[in-house]
Amino acid sequence: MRGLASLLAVLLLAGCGADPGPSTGVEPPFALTAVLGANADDPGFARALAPRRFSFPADHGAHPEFRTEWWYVTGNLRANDGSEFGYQLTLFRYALSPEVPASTSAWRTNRVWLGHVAITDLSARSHDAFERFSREALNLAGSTAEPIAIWLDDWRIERDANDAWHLRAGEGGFTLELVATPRKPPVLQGEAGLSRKSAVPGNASYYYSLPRLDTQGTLTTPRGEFEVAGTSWLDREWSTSALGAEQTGWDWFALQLDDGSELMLYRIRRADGSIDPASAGTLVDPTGIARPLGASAVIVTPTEHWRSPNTGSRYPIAWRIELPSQGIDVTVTARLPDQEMALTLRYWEGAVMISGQHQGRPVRGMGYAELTGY
Amino acid sequence: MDASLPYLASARHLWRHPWQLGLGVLGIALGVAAVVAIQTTRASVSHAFDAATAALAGGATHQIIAAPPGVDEQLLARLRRAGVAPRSTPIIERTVTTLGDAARTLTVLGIDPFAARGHALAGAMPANLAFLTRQGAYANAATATMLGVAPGDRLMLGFSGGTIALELVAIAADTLPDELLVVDLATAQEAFGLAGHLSRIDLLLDTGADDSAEIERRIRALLPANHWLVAAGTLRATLGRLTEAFHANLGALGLLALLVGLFLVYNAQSFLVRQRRELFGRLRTLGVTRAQLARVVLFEALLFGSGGTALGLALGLVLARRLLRLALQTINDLYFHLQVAELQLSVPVLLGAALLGIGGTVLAAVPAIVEAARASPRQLASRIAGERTAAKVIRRVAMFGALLIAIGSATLWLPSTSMQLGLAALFLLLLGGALLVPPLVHTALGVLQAPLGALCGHAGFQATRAARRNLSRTGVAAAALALAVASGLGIGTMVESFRHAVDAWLGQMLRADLYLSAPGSDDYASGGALDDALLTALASVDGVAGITTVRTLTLTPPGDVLKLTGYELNRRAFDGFQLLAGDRDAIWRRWQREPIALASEPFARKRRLAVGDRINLPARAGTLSVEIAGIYRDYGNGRGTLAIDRALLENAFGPIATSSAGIYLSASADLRAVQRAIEALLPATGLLHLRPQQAIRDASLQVFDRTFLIAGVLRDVATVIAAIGVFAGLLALALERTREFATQRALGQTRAALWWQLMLETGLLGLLAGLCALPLGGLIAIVLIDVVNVRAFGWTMAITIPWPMLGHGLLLALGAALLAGCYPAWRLAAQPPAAALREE
Repeated sequence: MRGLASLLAVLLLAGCGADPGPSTGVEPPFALTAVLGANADDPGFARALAPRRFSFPADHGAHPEFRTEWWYVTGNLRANDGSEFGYQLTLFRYALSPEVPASTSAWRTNRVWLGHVAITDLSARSHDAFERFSREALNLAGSTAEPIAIWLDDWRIERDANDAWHLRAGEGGFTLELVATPRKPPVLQGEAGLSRKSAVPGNASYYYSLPRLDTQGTLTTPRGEFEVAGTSWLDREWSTSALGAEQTGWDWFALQLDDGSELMLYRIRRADGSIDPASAGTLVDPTGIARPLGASAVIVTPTEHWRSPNTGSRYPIAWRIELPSQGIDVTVTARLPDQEMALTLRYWEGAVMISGQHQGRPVRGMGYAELTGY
Repeated sequence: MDASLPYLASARHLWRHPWQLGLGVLGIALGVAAVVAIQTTRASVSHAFDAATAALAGGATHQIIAAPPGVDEQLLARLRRAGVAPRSTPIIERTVTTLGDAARTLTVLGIDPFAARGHALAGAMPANLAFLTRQGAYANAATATMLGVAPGDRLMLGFSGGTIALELVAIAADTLPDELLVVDLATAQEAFGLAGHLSRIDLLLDTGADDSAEIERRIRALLPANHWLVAAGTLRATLGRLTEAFHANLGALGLLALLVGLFLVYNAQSFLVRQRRELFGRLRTLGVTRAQLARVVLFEALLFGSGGTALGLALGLVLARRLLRLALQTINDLYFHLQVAELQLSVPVLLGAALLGIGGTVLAAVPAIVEAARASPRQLASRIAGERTAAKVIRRVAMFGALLIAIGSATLWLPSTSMQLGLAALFLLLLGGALLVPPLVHTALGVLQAPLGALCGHAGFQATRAARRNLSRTGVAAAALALAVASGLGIGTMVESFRHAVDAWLGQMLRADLYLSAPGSDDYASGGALDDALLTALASVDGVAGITTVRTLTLTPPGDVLKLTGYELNRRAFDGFQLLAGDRDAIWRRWQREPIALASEPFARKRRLAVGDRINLPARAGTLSVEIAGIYRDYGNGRGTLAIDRALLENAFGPIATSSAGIYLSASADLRAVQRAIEALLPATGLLHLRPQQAIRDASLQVFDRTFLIAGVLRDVATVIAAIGVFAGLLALALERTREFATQRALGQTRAALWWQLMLETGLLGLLAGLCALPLGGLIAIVLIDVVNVRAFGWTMAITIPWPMLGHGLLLALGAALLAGCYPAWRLAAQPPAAALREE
């Protein structure tokens, strides 16, 4: 779900040029129509129509037969001196057409990559985000299956033979070099990994997560270099679908509770203010067993808002989340209000903290939230 | 006494002589205008050029360039993955032409929009992905209009390798430079056959960062052989030299304008002071102190200088607007496209001109101030005493002039290749020469007095005497006139000599009967419209005896531009090289066997190469080392050319498209028949041009003439301004002498005799100034040809004396002087002597 923000970003890039400065005034729908227009339902692409059999580690790699795909890592980290950080590293693949065009030029490609890196320094109360674009050509960006590696320039996500994920990215005085080791097997989201985004068949994605990865490594900020440790979340999704016209944005949560369970939720908002019935979630118990959650099983109530001084957008930054059937009643609060991604396409993605009750017992936790369409 | 008296008296005098005042201020204004016009044109052209190249560089701080066939495209990923250059944009840049008769030149820029972060051109991209498609291109609205295309239309364009088809998919923002088509990098590689290579990589490095030197070192460490990291300005500066010829021309003209302007300003002001000597004398007898008088003169000088300067600045800018249009037309025709340039109001130029106008005027008043301060009232009131001082001044001026000439000559002999130094020497020589004009005219008039008296009777005697006596006032005008005429003669002689040399060179160089040429000859491309199949077909046309081909390649190692020409020659074509050094037969024996080269004269001179020296060129793999076997005359390229055998060129750099072919006919062949037969073989695209030898020669000379058109116009402008200034000076003098003439009339001289004497006097002055202009003009020509041209371009030529031009120069000087005499003579005739006498 979350990668749709990136999809829009790619389209906007194509629309306005890769100038990271202020928007040239072209609204996303314009570029969206220009690109997607006729071939939004290009039959050349595979579609997520039915549950499939996942096979790991192969499915950690790319699925080029689908239009879009992403590797999305977020996490909360802590340094020895008590400094706390949130981070995000996303690599996103988008195909302009199903086929690789034949050409004498190695630059002729149908694939484009987008990368986002963000570091929230909670001690310095700062949030810095960077983006990069590249076509999949001449090893500028791309993926390999053996070993599993995904990269854009020197931003890289790589899985080694021991199932440890190596993350490396940086820009403008910020770098992260982390190793993340899954504590749980992959969780198949939705209907055995088929995540429906609307009632229309095929308007769905294949979606799995590694909901808890022990993470350690080095984080460099203008404040210095920090040895850090913490917990990460890896989301993987691929599809050929787009948002429906009536769907205006979404709120997405990846919550890691300190009792060993994880909660993933997404709420698709509709133009009329209602929540799309395709909204869903998953609760993972400490042993790794996942329970799908329907839209009606969850009540999300925003309790606090923050208006971005940059864009004027008003984002919710605190919520009460209730799952009566699971005995969950928690408060989720942004660890820093300003975690707006001031990039080609603006959205909010940031570290959150959790406190409340799980089946009568007090529970705390950390996580990440993504807010688009505000 | 009242301190305002001298000011009032002076003002009243000027009020009663508005002509004198007006002409004086006009003289100052014209001098300032000449300088402002030429220098502003020059600054505006420079600015337009810088803006055009900067726009294409997209704000990059550095560039990676390479020897042909270009930058290895794999390098970008290596730089990116090493994390040393996140803002790096791969670029392919090519020149293309529209097809058809009125071919226009455009630039096609291939860019990777995804990697173009921070590149200025990326910001102008239209809101449409469609240009990523196979033939998509975008351009700004002005360019689309110029090409007559709208989004959706297809465009056929020619380049050295053939034709390409593009589709205009969108109109970009106006910030995109004119005459530019932007395509995806892949499209550019496909269209131009450049797979695997880039023209350059534009880098945006943080030059202020602490580790910038370390980053540059790490980038250099990643570069393959024959790849260079250069500051973005380096390539711009190198490209800038393309217009050297143009700038050298304007520079020399600006200098001459400055000199003429200086003399005009001086002439005008000194005249305004001198005509009131008697008034000042009377004021002194009335008790006005020396200091008071000096202040009056200084105040007036500031006033006249400011007024004249203001007028001159305005006039100069009006003139500059017209000159700039002409200059741009020439540049666009000959060099490359410049956007319609705005007039650049350069502060240094305007300040300099203001300094010339006001400062020059004040400086010109200094002798008068000194004189007013030193002399007794009686001396001031008496003209005889004034003339006596003037004679002394003329002697001093002569000595000073001689000194300047000596310094100027010494500067010329300094072993230097600096053009600025050459121009400085020219300035000194001209200033010295101009200062010698009054003493020379003085002497000549003394010599002529007796013979003219004998020839023309009393009038002749009177005229020479009066001219000699008045020289203290006319000397500077004569010098200005001589200088203006000499400038025209000097530049004219240089251009004429140059044209003569070029004509002779073309005559020897162009040996084939027909020439077939492809567009964009400086590009690196294989295949091309003039491919081997076509060449073979040409060779078998009935009546064709042989074919020669030319391929050109431009190498741009850091800070350098090396033009290589690969010739496929026969002996007849080889003999077209006019060798200045080297043994023709020996070179021909070695030509296709050994790595030898012929260096053009500018090439050899600029690099100080002699026959037997070796030069190393960055080749596709490693280095190509060639021996300079000969040096040949060439006026085609001021940066110089290295001529080598085709096989040597292609072995070192890979296949290169043929840019032109020379077709030699057998003795019995009919030129028109062969021409028709060849035309039938050519592709219908209109990309290739077949022209007979004479047409090439005519076209080349036409290009030459257009290059110097602006020089000619500027020279004429300077001459006309000088003529007007001199006319104004002489007219003012004649008007001032109304009383003198009236006295002569009252003493019984007839109107006709007086008219005759006046015309003779001014005519003599004009003629003598014109005669002085001849050697001075020769001096300018010699310095321009033997120093400035050699230093700027490295080519030499024989001086051709343009006899008709000398006659024109003399006539111009004479005409300006006579014209200046006409009005007072007419006025004299129309006015009764008593009225003229009363006027004083």
